[in-house]
Amino acid sequence: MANSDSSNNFDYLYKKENKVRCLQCGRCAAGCPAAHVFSEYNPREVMRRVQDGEEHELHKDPIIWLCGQCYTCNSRCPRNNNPASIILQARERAYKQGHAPAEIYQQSAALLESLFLNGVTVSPVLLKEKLGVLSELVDVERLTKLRAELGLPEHNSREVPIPAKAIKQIRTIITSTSGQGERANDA
Amino acid sequence: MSRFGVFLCRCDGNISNTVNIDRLEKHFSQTCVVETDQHLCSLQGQQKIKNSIRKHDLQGVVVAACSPNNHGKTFRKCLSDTGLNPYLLELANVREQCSWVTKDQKSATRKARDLVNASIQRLQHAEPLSEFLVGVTNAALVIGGGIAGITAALSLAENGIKTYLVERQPSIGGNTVRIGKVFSPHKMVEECAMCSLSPLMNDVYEHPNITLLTNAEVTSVIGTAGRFSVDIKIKPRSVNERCTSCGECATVCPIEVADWWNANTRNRKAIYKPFPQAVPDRYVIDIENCVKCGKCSKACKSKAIELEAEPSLQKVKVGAIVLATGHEEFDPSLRPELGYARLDNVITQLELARIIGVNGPTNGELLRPSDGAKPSKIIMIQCVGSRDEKPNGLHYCSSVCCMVALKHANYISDYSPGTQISVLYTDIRTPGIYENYYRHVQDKGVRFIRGRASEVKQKAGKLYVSVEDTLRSKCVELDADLVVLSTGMLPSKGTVELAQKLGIELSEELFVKEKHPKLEGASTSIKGIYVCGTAQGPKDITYSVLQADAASLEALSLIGQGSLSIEPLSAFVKDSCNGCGICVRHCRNNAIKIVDRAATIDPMLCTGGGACIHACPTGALDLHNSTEAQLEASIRGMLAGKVNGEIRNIAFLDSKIGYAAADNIGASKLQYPSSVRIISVPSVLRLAPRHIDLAFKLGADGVFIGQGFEAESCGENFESVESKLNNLSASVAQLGIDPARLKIYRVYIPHFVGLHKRLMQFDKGIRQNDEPSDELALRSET
Ligand SMILES: Cc1cc2nc3c(=O)[nH]c(=O)nc-3n(C[C@H](O)[C@H](O)[C@H](O)COP(=O)(O)OP(=O)(O)OC[C@H]3O[C@@H](n4cnc5c(N)ncnc54)[C@H](O)[C@@H]3O)c2cc1C
Ligand code: SF4
Ligand code: SF4
Ligand code: SF4
Repeated sequence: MANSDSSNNFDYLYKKENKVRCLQCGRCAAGCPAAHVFSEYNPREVMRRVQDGEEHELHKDPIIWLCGQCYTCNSRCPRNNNPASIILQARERAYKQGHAPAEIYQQSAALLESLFLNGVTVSPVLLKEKLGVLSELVDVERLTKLRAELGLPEHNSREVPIPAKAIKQIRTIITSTSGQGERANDA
Repeated sequence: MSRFGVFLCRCDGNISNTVNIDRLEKHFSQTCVVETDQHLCSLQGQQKIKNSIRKHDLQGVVVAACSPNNHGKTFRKCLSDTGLNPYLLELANVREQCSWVTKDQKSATRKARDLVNASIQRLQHAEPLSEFLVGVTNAALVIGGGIAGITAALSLAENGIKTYLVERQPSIGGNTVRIGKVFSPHKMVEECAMCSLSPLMNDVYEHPNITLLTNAEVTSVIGTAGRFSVDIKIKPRSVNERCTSCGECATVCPIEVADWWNANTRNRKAIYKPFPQAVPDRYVIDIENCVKCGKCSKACKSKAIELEAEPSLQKVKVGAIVLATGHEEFDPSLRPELGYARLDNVITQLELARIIGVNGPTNGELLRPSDGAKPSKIIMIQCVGSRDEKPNGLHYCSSVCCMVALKHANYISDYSPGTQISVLYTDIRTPGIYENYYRHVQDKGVRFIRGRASEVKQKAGKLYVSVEDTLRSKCVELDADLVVLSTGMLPSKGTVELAQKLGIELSEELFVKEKHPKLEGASTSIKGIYVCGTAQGPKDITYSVLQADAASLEALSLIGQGSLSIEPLSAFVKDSCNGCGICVRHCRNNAIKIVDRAATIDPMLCTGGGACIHACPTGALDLHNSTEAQLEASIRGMLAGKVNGEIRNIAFLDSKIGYAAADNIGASKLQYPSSVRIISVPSVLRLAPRHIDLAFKLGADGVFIGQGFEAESCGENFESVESKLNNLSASVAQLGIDPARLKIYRVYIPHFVGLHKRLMQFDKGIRQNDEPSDELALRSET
């Protein structure tokens, strides 16, 4: 993890030739659900900034949190560019350097905690109570009703108990790979 | 000091920036006459070689420069001009296979030194050879009867050459027939394609020097420039000359099939005439779909129908071949997000051309497919399948589709005024004079939006296109009644099949590769075979016709020579032959015969692959210009001077495809370790277990064998080459050589990247093998 902030990290994930090869055709933006909802967000413009050598500034811009990580941009790009991965990379850096919005830290801590305690990240309870804006987007009641209508079993797969041994292993992984884990451990 | 001359080319830095030429000059001056030059291929450079040959009375020449495929002939001529036999020349490829593939100056210089050394060693065994003359057949074959093939056939015929024109379809005309209206450089009005094409088609039919074979395909081509023998298979037309084109038969025929000539926008019968001006002007039965019900026979008053007609085979001899097998359209259903084949009102430009064509499905009226209503809003989407690196995408610009969209937008603005047209483009490409057309169409009020459409949806019967107007950074959904996709152009299946059958080089995009992109734009990698039209690359009619004239001029000048000199690169028989006849069945070209209890080889039939050489139990056969002594010298030379701890891997590549692929690696500046040393062999069938064994005995760490994918050697087909290679590796294994040290690989020129990958993997594998690292030892224990 030590070198995850070095500039090499970017070059490794996004081959230089791809960055400079963007056609600025806008096929990514035209298919991007986030760009349709948020006028300030546009994956083509993200690519333009990367082309212009500003990729290392991207993490300070709050627009990176608008992307839905659906990867439509990548599946449409005629040059096989990947704005979604660039966004992801910028988010990782923003998170580590403290540029992410406060709710991101809260939400991620909640997710990690849930993973540590129950062996799963997202659960209906978590969605409803702790994930802020997400809970508005995901209507748990409606989903439960839909399941019933479709004749699916009532229980949510995420409520299937995770074997104790697996939870133990998950905890080991978390504690040995992240300082955050220890925090969760304390909790 | 030998009387060999070594000429080192700097190639204006291409070589000398990496290879230390001064050092090589010093090194070889001890044993040979050495000269260096910036450009040995220039007239001055050539003069330098000639002067030196004369001055020092040289007995042989080594030129260390670019690939022999570039200037081999030029340098040979330098020798013959001075009276020295041109086969006393060796070329060391220190550019494509050294300076361009090696970054490190030290390694490059060492490798170049070794390559030159190997050439000197091989030169000691060179034999003077003389070329021989053969007559050229005064006839030509043109394959493909689109506008390019038609033009080429007419030019040849006009110049007195007997010309065969072979067309797969039942009529000539090709894609130009389907596009209806055509744009041209200086006019702002669309002309009718048929108005220019129809008279040419009739000229073809009536020309005394042209034999037109429609419904026909070339099945095999053997021989070389000046003397090709061609087999042509002709499908039965099943309708004879008595046909008056009355059409009674088609009205009774019960079978309907999609009509290619109308881009499948309407159906035709199993008995049909492709289009009103078809040449030959006759009906034809499509035997794949005919059920032989006999209804047409009864309806035909002229008794023209022959339901039981059989296919026939025609054999022709020609001096030159022109390929004009054209293109086809990108299949837009490969981009399902654009709705083609899912949404009725999403069509291609070609389909639009048929809809607005007078003999199309709507008799020229602009009506949309779903309900026959007149569209009032049309959106055209550019670059569909072109400039696209997704799977099956065409990486190149198809170069005509911008003009096609402008043409159709212009035509519709004139004939259906009030129609709103928007063109969604990535870049508008209207090079040269065509810019006038763009301006003209802008004046007509057509909207141009810079953005590549991402998807097409249908809601409540209306189409919606998502696009970003990139110049305003605005994502919009535009509604339309009709969406037209400007699909790209790719080489036709016929082009690719035929090229592979003939063994001619294709570009990475699978178009026929021209011999030189600037200087020999209508020649192919095989002498005597020329190319024109969209078979060679995307282009419009203007350039297809120009290239057709260039191709026919090339063919004419070859045929006009009357005779050609042939390289004497055949197998030959030594005195030790006892007439046992074993070799005879090893030659699939039937070039070997036993006459007076000894084998004789017909140099005209022998293709010089060398498969027979090791078949002879007494070692009485050998191959000119790749003799046992020469091959051995190459192996020795490539391994000479190997120091302790150094790795050297020998790569035997066939001189045609494998070697050219290796050159392409160099031309693309892909790097590989200098341990890889390439030896060119006429075909890998030339190699016997003893050669591999020798390489290992002399210290090779690994041996790589690369054989061209389609290059047939000694008349052997793909499978038999394969099985011979398997035998070779089995015999090598019997010699006790670790099979991991021998790799056999098939090479396909467009995929030189694949060869590069294999060479890298191979070299890496050998290195790991050679360093018995702890890790490796551990792994083998467990
Ligand atoms: C939608 C569209 C619109 C266009 N509009 C214009 C325009 O307005 N103006 C313009 O200048 N250009 C236009 N073009 C480009 C134009 O179509 C081409 O430049 C032209 O057709 C090329 O002619 P060709 O003879 O090389 O190939 P083709 O027309 O493709 O002819 C090739 C012929 O070879 C035959 N063939 C293929 N394989 C074999 C085989 N193995 N054996 C025997 N025969 C074989 C085919 O049946 C065909 O008849 C347009 C292209 C498209 C796609
Ligand atoms: S990233 Fe791809 S889709 Fe987006 S503008 Fe660049 S080339 Fe077009
Ligand atoms: S991954 Fe993000 S940028 Fe890409 S299309 Fe989806 S939301 Fe838009
Ligand atoms: S000609 Fe125009 S539409 Fe066609 S590939 Fe090129 S840029 Fe795209």
